Amino acid sequence: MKEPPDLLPGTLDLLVLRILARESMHGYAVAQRLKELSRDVLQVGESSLYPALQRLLLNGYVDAEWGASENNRRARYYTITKAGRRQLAAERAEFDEIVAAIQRVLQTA
Amino acid sequence: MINWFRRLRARIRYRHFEHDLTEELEFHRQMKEEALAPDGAATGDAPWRAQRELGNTTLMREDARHVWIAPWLESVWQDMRYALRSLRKHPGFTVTATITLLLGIGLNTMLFTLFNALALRSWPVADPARVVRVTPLSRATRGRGDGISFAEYRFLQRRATSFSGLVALERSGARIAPQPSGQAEYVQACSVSGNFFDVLGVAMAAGRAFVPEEAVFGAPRAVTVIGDALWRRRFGADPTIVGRTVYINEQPFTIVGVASPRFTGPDSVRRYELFIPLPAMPLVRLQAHESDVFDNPERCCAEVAGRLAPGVSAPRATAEIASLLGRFRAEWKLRPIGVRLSSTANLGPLTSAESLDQPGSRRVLAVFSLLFVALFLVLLLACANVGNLQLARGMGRRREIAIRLAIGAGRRRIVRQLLTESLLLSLAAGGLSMGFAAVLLGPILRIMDPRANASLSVAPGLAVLAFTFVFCLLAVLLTGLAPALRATRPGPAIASPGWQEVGIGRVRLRSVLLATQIALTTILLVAAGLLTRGIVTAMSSDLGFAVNDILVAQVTPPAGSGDASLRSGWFRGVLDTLDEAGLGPIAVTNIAPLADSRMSVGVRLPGERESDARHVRMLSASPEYFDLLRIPLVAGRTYDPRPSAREVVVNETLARLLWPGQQAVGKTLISGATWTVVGVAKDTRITGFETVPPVLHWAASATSVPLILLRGGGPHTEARVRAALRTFDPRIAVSTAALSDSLRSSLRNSITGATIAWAIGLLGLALAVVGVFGVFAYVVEERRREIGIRLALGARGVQVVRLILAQTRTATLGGLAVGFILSLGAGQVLRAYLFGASPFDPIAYGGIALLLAVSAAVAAYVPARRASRIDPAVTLRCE
Repeated sequence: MKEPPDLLPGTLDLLVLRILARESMHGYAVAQRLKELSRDVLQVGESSLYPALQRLLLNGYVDAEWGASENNRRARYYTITKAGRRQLAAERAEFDEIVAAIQRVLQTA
Repeated sequence: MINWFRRLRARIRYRHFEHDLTEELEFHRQMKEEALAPDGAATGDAPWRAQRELGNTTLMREDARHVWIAPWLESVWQDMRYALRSLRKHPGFTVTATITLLLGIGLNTMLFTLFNALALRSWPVADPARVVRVTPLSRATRGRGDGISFAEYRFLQRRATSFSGLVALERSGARIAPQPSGQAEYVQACSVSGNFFDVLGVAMAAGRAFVPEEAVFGAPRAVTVIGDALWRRRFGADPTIVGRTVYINEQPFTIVGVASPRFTGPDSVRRYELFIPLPAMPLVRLQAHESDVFDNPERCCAEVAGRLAPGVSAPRATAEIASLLGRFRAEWKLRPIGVRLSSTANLGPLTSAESLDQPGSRRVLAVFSLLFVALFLVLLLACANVGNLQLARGMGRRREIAIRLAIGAGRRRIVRQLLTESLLLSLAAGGLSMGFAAVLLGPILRIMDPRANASLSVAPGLAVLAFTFVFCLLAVLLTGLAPALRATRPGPAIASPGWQEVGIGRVRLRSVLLATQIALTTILLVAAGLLTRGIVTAMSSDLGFAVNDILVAQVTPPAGSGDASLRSGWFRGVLDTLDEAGLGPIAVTNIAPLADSRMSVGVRLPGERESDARHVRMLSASPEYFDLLRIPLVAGRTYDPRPSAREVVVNETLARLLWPGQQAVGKTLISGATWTVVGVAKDTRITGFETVPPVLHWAASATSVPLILLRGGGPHTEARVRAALRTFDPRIAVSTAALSDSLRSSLRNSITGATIAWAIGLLGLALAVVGVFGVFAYVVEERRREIGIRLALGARGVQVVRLILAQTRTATLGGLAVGFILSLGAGQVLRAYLFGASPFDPIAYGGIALLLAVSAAVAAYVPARRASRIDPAVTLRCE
């Protein structure tokens, strides 16, 4: 199976934020969700996921809390904060801009 | 910003954090495992597959952690903790190294603190960095039109825009008394312009500063501001001090204010206790000035300083002042001079230096430089010792380091960790040094010179902190780097127990260190030895004139004795009184015998050009001078005192210089005017202890020079002198000193210097002895097995000792040789302080060589003996 395409640097945070914007979930669920929503194209390695979650925590875009998971295990749930939502909107807009610019160049150059 | 707090919190709750992460990752793995299990994988396999797919959790944890805590910061912190632990486990090494470094760094810190307090501190005013002195660039001493006159100052003060204020001042002494006939006290006084306190930003402890109306030139008011110390001392800190009258040089003045205790005058060292407005100077006759001194641009000289206006740079201000002065001088047809702005820190603490060009400050600088060099050598010695200690310790840790290298630690990382240990040691030593400097320096100074200015505060400041820190870093580099690199060198693999390396490279570094120690100690000791020989030479040399029977008296005319001609008459009266009292013969002179004065004049032969003139010492005295001091005249006679006769006496050296091989009597020379030589005096040490310079003696008018020489050196004569003079004028101030006392005190500085040199030298020797001892002890330890085997095979104790000594022979001899060669250079540098003793004095060198030999023997003795006593059975058994 060919290597999954590399994510543009910095977009992982954006994706995780977006996923968490819908509902709070623990790390494993985020990874599954990402895989699922991207139709298996984006497979984020756990080695990048957890540092990303820590970054979001450091910057105050998410909050973390221990809770019980579906099968009654102790898991850490991440919830997006208001600042996180603002950041999400901002990064999304920026991302759209970049992609649009790339598209323009590809189409017209 | 908030991130910082979060990071800090994560750091503090480190373990909790770790635990959270671990648990989280474990949860993830379990979920994965469950997801895999129904996939049909063998049930036993699922956990490991999950783990494999999860990846390297340790690395993940570390990466996650590194989001919060910068990795470099963490590793530095790790290094520190490891270093601390390691140092704690070897207290012997730690204490020894710290004390050694403390000696090295501490002495330097103390010296620098002293230097900083004396030489680098500016006036105690507000924002001293913006206050500058305006000094003329010409080197001439006070002569007509060669400085900034008061008239020029007034001109500048009105027009200079690059200064927020310019002040002028003049320093002198004055007598102050609470009552007109009370006991007067002689204090340092300063006459200042009206804006002095405002411009310099000096606060008042009581009352106020001068107001402009009180400092109008030509209409002075008798007001004064006194210093805080004077207020407390003479007036008991009387709160009603403002408005009281005091008598300055017997003139009544009103006190309008007391300066804040922090302000001791426009000087970082001397304390000035009295301030009066400049225009009031004539009221108290503080200096011998002509009456138009404030208006005539040719009258010298004012000391000018000012505060730079905000935002103005020094070059701009200099340019403005220079151009203003140029305009003024062109208008008055005076010679143009350059100016420069300099900081108010003065480098002439022990003289009344007001400019950097004073010879006194140059000499103080020279002494300080020598001390710095000597103490720096001591620091190098200390570092060499500690370096050896580090080397030895590095060898002991070879196994540990080899294992770490094998596991995968980078060499750089280990070197960094070893350096961290050195850094901790240095910083500890540095911190202790500052503490010692703060506590010990004051008492040491007071012991060395009880007359030291009590207001000299030698508290270490920011500059000293920076200096100490730099030296700490230097010490780390010197003591830690080479041993660290050596210890981590990839070499033979993991050490087996009992394995010892006797590689050549390591021994070379240690030998170099040993040689360095020996060389440095040699230099320090030879310097001390030469200085001592110099003093011995000075004291035993024949001075060439009578010392034991002479009294030197100095009289000052009381204020208000009138102008020059009146004073001259008064002086004549003094001499006559002494003569009548039977205290003759009397001579007068301008410089006391043995006073180290460098007054010189230019002298040339008729027919030579002005530029060929040589500078020779000058002594003016009355004709009885030679007779009184019993200086023989080898040719001719003493001179005629009348100025019109234009007769001079030269000393033998000057005669040889100008007319080699000829008779000097009858010849003429030119110095300003044409003079005839009427006599040649034998060379004496009248000018001081160095090699006899050429000296020109000419007539002093009996009333224009301050010193009176009389026969009779005991206190009896002194009493008679005072009694006689009091009958002449009860207000007279007389100070007398026997010439033999001057002899002792003129050597006192040198003796102090030599003592300090010996102290430093012996300290260096102690350090070197400890170092040599350490090296030998380690060599013995290192070769213990080998020695044991040799002894078992039949070697004798003596042979073993010789073996040990042989290992260090090259280093020792090399160090000695280099040391002595460098000492020759040091001797040359010290030549000026040797009073004519030779810099190659064999007694000094021989003595020091003997001292070193004995010390080395002592240092090596114990380890060598222990070597010869090694019980082969014991060594061979403990493998």
